[in-house]
Amino acid sequence: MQSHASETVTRHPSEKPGLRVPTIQMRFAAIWIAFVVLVLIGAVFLPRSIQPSALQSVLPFAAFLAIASMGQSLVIMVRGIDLSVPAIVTLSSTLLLGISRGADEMMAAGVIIGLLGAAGVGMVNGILVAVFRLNALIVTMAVGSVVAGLTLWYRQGLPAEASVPQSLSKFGSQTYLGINTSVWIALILTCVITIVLRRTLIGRQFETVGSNPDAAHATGVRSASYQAGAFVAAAVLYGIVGIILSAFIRNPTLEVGQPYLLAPIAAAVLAATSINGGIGSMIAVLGGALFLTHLGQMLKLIGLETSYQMIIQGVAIAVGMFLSSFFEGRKR
Amino acid sequence: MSNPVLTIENVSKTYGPVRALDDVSFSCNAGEVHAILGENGSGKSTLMKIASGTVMPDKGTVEVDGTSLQHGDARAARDLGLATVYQDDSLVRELSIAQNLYLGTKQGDVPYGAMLSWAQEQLDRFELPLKADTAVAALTPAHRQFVEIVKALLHQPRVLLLDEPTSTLDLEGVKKLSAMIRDLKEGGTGIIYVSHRLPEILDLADRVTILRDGVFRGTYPVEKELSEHRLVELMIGRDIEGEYPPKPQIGDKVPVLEVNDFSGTHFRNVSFSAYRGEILGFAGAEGNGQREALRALVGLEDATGSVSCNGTQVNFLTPREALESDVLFLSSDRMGEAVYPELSVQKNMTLTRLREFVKGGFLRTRAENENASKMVDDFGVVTASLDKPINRLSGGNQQKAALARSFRSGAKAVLIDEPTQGVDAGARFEIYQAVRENIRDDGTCIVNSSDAMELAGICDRVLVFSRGRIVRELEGDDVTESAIVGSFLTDRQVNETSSDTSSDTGAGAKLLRTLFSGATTWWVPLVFLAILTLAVGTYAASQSDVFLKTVNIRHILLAVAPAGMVAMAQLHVLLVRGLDVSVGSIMSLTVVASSFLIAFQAPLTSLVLGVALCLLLGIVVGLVNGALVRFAHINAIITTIAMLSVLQGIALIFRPTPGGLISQDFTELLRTRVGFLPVSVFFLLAVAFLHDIWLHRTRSGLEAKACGFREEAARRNGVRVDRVQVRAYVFAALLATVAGFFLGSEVGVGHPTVGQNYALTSIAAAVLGGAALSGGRGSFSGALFGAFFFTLTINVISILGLSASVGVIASGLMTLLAVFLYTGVSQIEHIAHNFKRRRAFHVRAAQ
Repeated sequence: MQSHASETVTRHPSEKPGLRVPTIQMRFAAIWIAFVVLVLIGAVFLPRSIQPSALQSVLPFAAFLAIASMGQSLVIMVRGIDLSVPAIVTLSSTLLLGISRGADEMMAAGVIIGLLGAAGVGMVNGILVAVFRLNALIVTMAVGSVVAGLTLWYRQGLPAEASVPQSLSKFGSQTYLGINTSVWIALILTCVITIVLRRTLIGRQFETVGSNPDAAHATGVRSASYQAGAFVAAAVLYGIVGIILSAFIRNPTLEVGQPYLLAPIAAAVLAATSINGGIGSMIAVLGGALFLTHLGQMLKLIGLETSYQMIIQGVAIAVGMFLSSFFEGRKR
Repeated sequence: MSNPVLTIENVSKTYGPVRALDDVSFSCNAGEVHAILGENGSGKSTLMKIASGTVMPDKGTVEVDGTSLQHGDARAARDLGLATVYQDDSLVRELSIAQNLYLGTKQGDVPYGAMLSWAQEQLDRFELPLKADTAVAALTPAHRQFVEIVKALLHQPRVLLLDEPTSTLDLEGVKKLSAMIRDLKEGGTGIIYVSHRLPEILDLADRVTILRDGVFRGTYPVEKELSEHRLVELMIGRDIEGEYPPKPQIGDKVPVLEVNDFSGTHFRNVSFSAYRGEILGFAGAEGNGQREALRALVGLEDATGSVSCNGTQVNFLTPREALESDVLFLSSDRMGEAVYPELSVQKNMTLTRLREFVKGGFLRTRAENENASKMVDDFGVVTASLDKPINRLSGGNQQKAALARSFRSGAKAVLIDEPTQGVDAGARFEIYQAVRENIRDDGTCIVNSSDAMELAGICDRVLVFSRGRIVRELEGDDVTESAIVGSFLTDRQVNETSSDTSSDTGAGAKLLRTLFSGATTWWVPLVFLAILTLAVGTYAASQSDVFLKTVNIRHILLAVAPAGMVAMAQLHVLLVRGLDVSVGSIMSLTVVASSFLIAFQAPLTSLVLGVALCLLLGIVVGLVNGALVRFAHINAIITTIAMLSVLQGIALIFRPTPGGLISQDFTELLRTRVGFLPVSVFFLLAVAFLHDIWLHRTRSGLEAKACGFREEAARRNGVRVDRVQVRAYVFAALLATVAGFFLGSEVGVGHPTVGQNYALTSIAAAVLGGAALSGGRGSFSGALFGAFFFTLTINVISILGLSASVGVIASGLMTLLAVFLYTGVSQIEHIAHNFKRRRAFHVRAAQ
């Protein structure tokens, strides 16, 4: 065997056998570098943007976006896309309001049912996409529409000024070590998902399903289950956003999910999540969410309306995609 | 050496780390048959692609009939007098023979109306027993090959490239083809004949050029002295016998895998045993059921029968269940079914044995790394690091990594389909060695290969398949290339016509499928929609007095205008297999732009200018979408989502809240009535009608369909694919802008988010009207009708006094229904079929 290997080496001198070089994955580091550069630019030209109070006010929103973006990334990693995020966020928020009716003793029930509702929607998405092989974009748009309609109908039976239970809103505004609880939740979720993806059998099989579902099937992996599972896991994450976002703003309306249609896609794409599936890093997604939120904050400080954020998101999606395909070195 | 019609000089081409061609030169004269001979992966097909202008060489020149071919353009090559017949056919299967031949003509050569009779003439000229209006999909592979050749000869080419032309032909076909080639030769055409079938080459060719590993090995005149043996030697470039690993003596025949009475659609009553420590070969001419039988053993094809591995019954329903009984399959389709292209070498290799490294629920990286390094060494995988994505490796190294995964999975029976497909010659022998060395003592290995020499070299025993049955078993010294080829040739007089056993589909499901995706007749979905409309309308009329009132009807018809326009816009993109999510935001932006540019009480001239500016904006948006999708190679969905975000942002910047009246003259104009009907109805019908004429009655429409069905085939026919695609996005944006005008006339003010639900509506309406997400199918009148049905349903809901939420839910459900009818139905059949299989299997197992 040895002699044959050396023979091959002479033909491809650029490839050396057996050597293990630890590599920092540039594609995932890029967004953090961009974030640091952005913060530095802010520090020089817009000192207000890095004042502690400014950071304090913007961090929870970065956390909400980060959690939603992790969900979106999981879906993109299995070659899907999820446009039902706003509907699911609003659904779990509204279920929380409706079940708890602002009473502390019903808080747990409200949270659980809110999350279950979200998971249920994710299951419908997942089954339609993975089992019935329908187009993910259309399915999630349509399911999102159905869920939005149901939520609207359910919400009509609730008082307009409904608010979350007191202990929940207290939880939402609490800080540990000077950092808001939602930020801690986002950090914990980042770690958990990262470990599951990198260090467990489930995570590894999930990657292979994303990278090549047919090959995964032929190698004995339950492809469809993992694909559907991605939609469910993502929906639970959106549900968590719905709950902690409601806790933070106390009396959420039906518009609560609206910012999460496109921003999570932008964050996921900026984090170099591969649209061809399989590849993604939650740490990078966290960076993507921070980047977008901080950029939005800077725009606000310059005095530009939030609408500019949408333009930036759009451009970010296009640029991120272009760079991502550049990293992958293939043209499709 | 007179009059070369094709000259190739010093051509080189590399793909990543793989050097496909290295400094190759040869020429072909008028009236000469010049054969190109080489193994799989020797660079033949790359050379063909360069000669035909579809691939740009890194270095070197191509001259056709004395003129040099400048850029990688199939069209230019064709105009210079070069025609190509590809191995994987370049016909659009969903279109008819006539349409395919027509696509091969130059613009204006044949009038569209005369297409059918003209095409029939062409077929008759070569005495082919075919009707020009037959769909290509319905032809046998052999007939497709002849249609392909007829298409190539349409322009009386100076030089004709034939890539493995006989691979699908039976003896009769080969004779016919040889006669055609001799005729062409008489007429002075130069013919490049790529093949690995030596007898044909010796029979037909005047000269032969040999390639090995992308390197030119010489051009030889075909004379009596040039024997097959000599050609093989030149092609392989080494002493063949010595390179195969020695075959060990198999002692006691202990069966590992026992297969009994195994039958499926492509194979029947297959029974055999595979013994410990042996390599068992599956042989046969392509398409005789051997591949299907191998795949069926792990559930990738349907089968009945019994399989056991080391005495326990194997569940061959899915690969996962087969692997649980220690049977593992490695596919020949490396990119499609065997490797995970973007994942690292290590992740590719260790997938099947991860359980070994799990401790307390987590993977121990150290143990995994160590084992991966060992696998790399054992199988001779050449890679710079274990973290390198596997798609950066050469085909041979990818295959070695896949083999490492298969053999170290713990499976007792390893089934390998085409172990060396697309692997360069050097690596092949390393692979043979790796296979031989890594069979477990208590395991067995089955190899299916189309290469008889390979089977003879590595197998201890070979089973020869013909027409789905095992016809011969060769063992020991009988396992030779000639014995293998001999046994499948003697048994096979004719190629089997593809046995199209129609599946046991329910009539209802079949009908639904015809109605939607399968609708080659474009008006079928219209009939279906008419029935739906009647049903909903009748119900509404019976429940409400208001419904049939003129006011309400007019209200519906006015509301159809934006929905119908945007559905037709979406169809433009769906036809070329794209998707445009940004159409809704284009409508919003148009409404906002109208509130500035076509403002209240503006003079007529500025109105006209405003309309023109809005349309221009639409064109720009379409161009950007198209350019990003086609030239920056960004996924269509992502591109249009990005565009949606940008346009919505711009709309909100100019009108953070609804405001600014749109010119009343303008809105009145769009809402004018003729009798009791709004003028927009006539406008919509005219647009749909003209578009359908374009789609179904012009060359340009046919090109769009061809791009949607099969882009590569369209490109090979000289269709300017990029232009067709970009044009689709431009038209989509333009029609969406017009839809925005109608929407503006409804709301009257600059409302920044008014269009946001139209993306969903447009897709649903187009699909209801017969468009397929897979491209190529659909009609504009269908899309318009779909939008009408959509609008009608929403109207009925509001008339019946149901809450607004019901409308939102209904539009979502209708969309799901539309896409479900399109793909879901066949998927349900599939799921039901699998369920039946599973039950039948367990019933048998229980017996």
